[in-house]
Amino acid sequence: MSGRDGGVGRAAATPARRTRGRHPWVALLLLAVPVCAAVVGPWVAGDTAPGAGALPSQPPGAGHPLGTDVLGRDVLALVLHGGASVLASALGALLIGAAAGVPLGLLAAGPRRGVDEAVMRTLDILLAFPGLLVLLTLAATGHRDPYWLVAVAGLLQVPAVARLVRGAALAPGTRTAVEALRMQGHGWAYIHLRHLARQLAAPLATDLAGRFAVVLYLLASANFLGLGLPDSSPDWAVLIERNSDALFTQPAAVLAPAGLLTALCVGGNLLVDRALRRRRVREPAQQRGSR
Amino acid sequence: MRGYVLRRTLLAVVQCLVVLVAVFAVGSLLPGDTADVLRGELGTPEQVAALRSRLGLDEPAWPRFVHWLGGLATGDLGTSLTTGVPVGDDLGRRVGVTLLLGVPALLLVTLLAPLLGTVCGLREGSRADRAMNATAVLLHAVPEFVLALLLVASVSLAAGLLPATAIGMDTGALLAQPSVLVLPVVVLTARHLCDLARQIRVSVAAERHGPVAEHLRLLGLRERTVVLRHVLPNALGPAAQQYARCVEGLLGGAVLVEAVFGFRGLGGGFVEAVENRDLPEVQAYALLFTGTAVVVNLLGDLVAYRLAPRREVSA
Amino acid sequence: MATHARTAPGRPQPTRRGVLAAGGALAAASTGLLSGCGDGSDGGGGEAPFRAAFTSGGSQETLDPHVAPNFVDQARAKALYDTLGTYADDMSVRKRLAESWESNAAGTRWHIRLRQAEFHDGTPVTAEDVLYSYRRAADPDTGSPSQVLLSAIDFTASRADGKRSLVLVLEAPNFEFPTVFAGPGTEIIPDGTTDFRKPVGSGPFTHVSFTPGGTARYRSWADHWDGAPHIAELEIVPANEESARLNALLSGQVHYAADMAGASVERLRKAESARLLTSKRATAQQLLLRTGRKPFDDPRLVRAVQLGIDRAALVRIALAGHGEVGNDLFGTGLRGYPGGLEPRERDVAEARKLVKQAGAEGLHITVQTSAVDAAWQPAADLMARQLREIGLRLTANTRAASTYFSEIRTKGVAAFNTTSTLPVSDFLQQRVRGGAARNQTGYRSEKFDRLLDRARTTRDEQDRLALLARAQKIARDESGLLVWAFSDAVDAIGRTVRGLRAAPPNSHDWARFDRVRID
Repeated sequence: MSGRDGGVGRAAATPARRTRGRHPWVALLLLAVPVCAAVVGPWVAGDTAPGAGALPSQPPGAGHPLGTDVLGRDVLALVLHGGASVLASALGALLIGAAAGVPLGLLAAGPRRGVDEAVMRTLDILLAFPGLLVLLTLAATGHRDPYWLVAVAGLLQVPAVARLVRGAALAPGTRTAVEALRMQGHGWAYIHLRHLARQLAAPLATDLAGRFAVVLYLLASANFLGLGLPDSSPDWAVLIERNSDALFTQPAAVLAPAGLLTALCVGGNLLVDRALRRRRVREPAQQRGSR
Repeated sequence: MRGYVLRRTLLAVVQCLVVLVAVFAVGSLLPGDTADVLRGELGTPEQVAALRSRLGLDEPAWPRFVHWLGGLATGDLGTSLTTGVPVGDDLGRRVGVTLLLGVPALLLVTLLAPLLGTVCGLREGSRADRAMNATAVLLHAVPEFVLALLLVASVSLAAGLLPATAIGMDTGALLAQPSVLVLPVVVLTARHLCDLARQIRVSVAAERHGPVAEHLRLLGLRERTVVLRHVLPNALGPAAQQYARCVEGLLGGAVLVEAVFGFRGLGGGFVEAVENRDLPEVQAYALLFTGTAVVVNLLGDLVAYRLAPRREVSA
Repeated sequence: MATHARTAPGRPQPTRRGVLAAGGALAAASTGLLSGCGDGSDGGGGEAPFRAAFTSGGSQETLDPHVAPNFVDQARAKALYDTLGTYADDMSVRKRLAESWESNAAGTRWHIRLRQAEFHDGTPVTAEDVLYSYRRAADPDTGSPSQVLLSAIDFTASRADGKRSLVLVLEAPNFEFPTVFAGPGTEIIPDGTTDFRKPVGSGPFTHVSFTPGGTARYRSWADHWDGAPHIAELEIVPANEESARLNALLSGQVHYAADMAGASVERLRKAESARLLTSKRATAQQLLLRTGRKPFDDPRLVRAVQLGIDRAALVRIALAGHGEVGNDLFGTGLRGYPGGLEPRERDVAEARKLVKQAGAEGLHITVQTSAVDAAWQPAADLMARQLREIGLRLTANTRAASTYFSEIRTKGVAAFNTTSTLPVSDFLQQRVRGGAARNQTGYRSEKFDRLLDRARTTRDEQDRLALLARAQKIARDESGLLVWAFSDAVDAIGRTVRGLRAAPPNSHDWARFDRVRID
C-alpha cells in the first residue's frame, strides 16, 4: 500500500482492519435462526391441525406460545413446519432466473452485435409482459402445481438478471480489461470464467440477494390465485399473506414468519456483502503480486 | 448513432406488436368473458347471452383483435367492453394518479440512491455503512403492506400527522392536498431506494478496489479523480439497469400501495381490466406498459452506449 | 378475516388477498406508463359532506338503477331513486312510492295506487313512469336482477288507469307478486329515460357528479315526499381494500365504512372513534352439491356430507365466530322460514355408514372455491379435514373471483356460494325450483315445484307460508343446497354519526343515508 498517497491508504485500510478484526456473528445468527427453524423445525414441531375448540387469530396465550392463525392452528407449530418450502421454492426460482439470465447476459455482452440485439430485444418482450396475466393463465389452464409456479417465477426474473449481467460486463472498465486480456492472448474460457466472473460477482450477488425477497412474495401471492402451494400450507410466505388482515389483532401470526423471512434476507445479504468485501480486500494484493 | 436509434425504434414497434398479440392470445385463454363478469351471479343465461351478442363477444376473437389493431393505427385505443366509453378516458384519469405517486418517488430515488450508495461504497465496512446497509436490507425484506399499515397506524392514526388514505380523491383533489401523498410515496420509495442504493454501493466498493482503479492510483492520479472519472461511471453501469426496472415499476402503477391507501392508479386499473376480461382495456394497458418498458430500456441503452460505445470486434 | 360477506347478490370484489396477489405478480414483471393528463377539480366549499366508503364495482359502474349488481349500486340507487315498496328487516314488503296495492281474487291483476311524489326535475311520478320502468327492467337486455320476476307481467294487457293508478296483469296467478315492488333493479325512473349521465329520480338526494369506479356526489333534495335528508351533501367513495376503508374511518376521513370482516371488527371493537353496525345472520353460507350429476345424484352422499361437516367448528374458525350455524335452509329469522326444525347435528358414524353404503369410500371430490368470500377457503380447508373422517377426500379448486359464478354454473360437482337476505319465496322460486335460471345444484322435484305453485296461488298468507314450509322441508333434505352457516354483515360508523342502525343488506334501512345526522 506504500505507493499511494496517505488519504487513500487510510480509506483503504479501514475495511481491511474491520473485516479481519470482526467475526460475522450477527449475520450468522440472523441466518442460522430461520435455517435451523426450516431444517430442524419439522422434526420437533407438533401437529398443525387445529385442536378441538380451537379459535382463530388468538393472541399468544396458554398452549399457544405464538397464538393461533386464521385457521385456528398453532402459529409456532406452523412456523416450524413452513420453512423448507419457502427456502426450496425461492431458491429454485432464483436458480432458474440466474441459470438462464447469466449466460444470456454474457452472450449479449459478447462481441457480436447481432446476437446482443436479438437476445436483448427478445428479453425486453418478456420483461414487458404482465406477470399477472401469466399467472392467471397458468391457473386457468390447470397448471397449478408448485413447480410450474417456481418455473414461471424464475422465468420472470430472467430479463432483469440478463440485463444486469450485460450491463456489468459492458461497463467501460470491464470492457477495456477484457479486450486487454484478449490482446494478451487469453482464451474465451479464461476471460469469461475467471475475469468476468470476478467482475460480475458483486453486482450479481447483491441483485440475487435482493431478488430473493421479491421472488418470495411473488410465490406467496400466487397461492391466492389457486397456484402453487395450497391455501392451508404452513409456508411462511403463505402465512404472512393469509394472516395479513390480523396484523393488528394477532400480530404474531404475521410477524413471526415475516421476522424469520426478514432475518433470512438480512443475514444472507450481510454475509454476501461481507464475503465480497473480504475478497476485495485480499484480491488486489494478490493481483499486484502476480503481475 | 442515428442509425442505431432508428433501428431500435422500429424494433420497438415490433416488440409492442408481439406483446399485444401475446397478451390477446393469453387473455383469450382466461375463463369467462365480460358478459359473464358484468351479469355476475344474478345474471340468467338469457341475460348473459343477450349482453354477449350486444358486446359483439359472440363473434370470433381474432377478427376483433385485428379490428382493434386497425383502430390503433388511427390512434384509437378502442372502447371498453365494460363501460362502453373510450378506453383512453379511464386510462387518462389513472395515469395522473400514478404520476403523482411515481414521479416524486422516482425523484427521491434518483437523488438519494447514488448519494447513499456512493457514500456507503466509499466507506465500506465503516459503522455508518454497516448501519445504513443493514437498514436497507431490512426495509427491502419487510413485506410492503406491513410497512404501509404500520406507517398509517403510527403516523396517521396514533399521531394524527398525515392523512391515512386518499379514498375518494382524484388528481385535482390530490394536488390540492399533497400531504396525502407523503406516506404512499415513502413506502414506494423505500423498496426501490434500498435496492438501487445497495447495488450502487457494492459496485462502487468493487470498482474502488478494482485493478483499473489501483492502476490509476499507481499512475499518481488523485483519489477524487479516480472516484469521479473511473469508479462512479463504472459503478453506475449495472445500476443503470436496476434504475430502469425502478422507473418501470414506479411509473407502471403500484397495485399494493394504491390499494392500501385507496388510490385509483394504473396498477389497480390493470388488475380490474383483467378481472373484467375487458380485452380492449387489457391491451391498452399492455401497450402502455410495453411502451414504457421499451422506451426506458432504449434510453438506458443509449446512455450505456454513450458511456461505453460497443466496438464491433470480430471474434 | 372471516366474513367478507357483502358481495352476495353481486359480483365478486377483489379482497385484500387479491390485491396482494396482483401486487406480487406485477412486481415480477414491471410495468409502465405513457402520457399524463389530470382531470377535474374537487367540488369543495361549504359544510363537509357525509362520506360513506364502499367496495366499488370499478369502471363498469353506472347510475342506471336497473343494473345494480353490487351493494354500492344499491346504496347509490337508494339515494337517487325510489321503488314502489321496500323490504323490512324480515324481507316482508313495506309501501314506499306505492300508497296501496291489491289483487283480484285470482291473483292475476294487481291494482296499484301511487303516492304524490315528484322527480328531481319537478315532474310528477306517474303510472306511465312505473310501466316504463318495469318494462325496461323486464327486458333481459337491461340486466336487472329482478328481470325474472318482472317478466311475469303481461305488458300488453297492463295499463295506467289514471295519473297515479295502474293495473299490472300477470300471465299466471301470483300472490307473492308484491315482493317484486321492493326488488333490486326495479327503481322508478321517468318515462323514456335511456341516458344516465345526468340521472333524474325521485329519491331523497339529487345527482351532482359521478365517475364509474370513482366518487358519487349527491345533494339533499328539499322536496322529497318523505321529507328532506338531514345532511346537505352525500359522497359515496370507493375503497376496495378493507384496510383502506378501516383506516379512513378511524382517521375520520369517512363517516361510514361498509363491509368489515373478522380482524377489522376486532380492531373496531376496541376503537373509541367508531361504532359497529352488526346485522346478524345476514348472509347464508352455502355448499352446493350438484344433485343432477355424479356422485351427488346419490342422495346417501348428500346426506353423508350434511351429517359429516362440523358446523360449529366452521362458524368458530371460518367465520371467526361472526355468525351462527345453518340448518341447510335459507333465511333463518325471515318471514316464511319454517319453525320447529331439529338442528342438524354432526354424526360421523352415520355419515361414514352412508358413504360405505354408497360405495364411495375414499372418493375424491373437488369443491370449487374462490376469493369472492373470505370464508370459503378456510371453510373448504376445514371441510376437507372433517370429511376425511367419514371417508371422503375433498380438495379445493380455487377459481378467479370475477368469473367464478359463470364457471360454477357449468363446471364441477360441488361449489361454495353466498346469498344475502332475500324474501324466502324468491329464493325458493329462483334458486331451488327445477330448471330455474339460478338453480345451480340441478335439483328437480315435481313435489317441491307443485307446492311452490300452490303457495303462489294461495291468497291467505298463513296458508301460503304453511305450503312454503312444507316445500322447504323437502328441499332441505334433497336439494343439495347446504346452508352450513349464516355470517354476520358488519358495517362501521364514526362516533358522531346518528340515525343509522344495523339492518340486513337488501333491506331498506341498510345504507340509508336520508335519515343520517352528524353531531
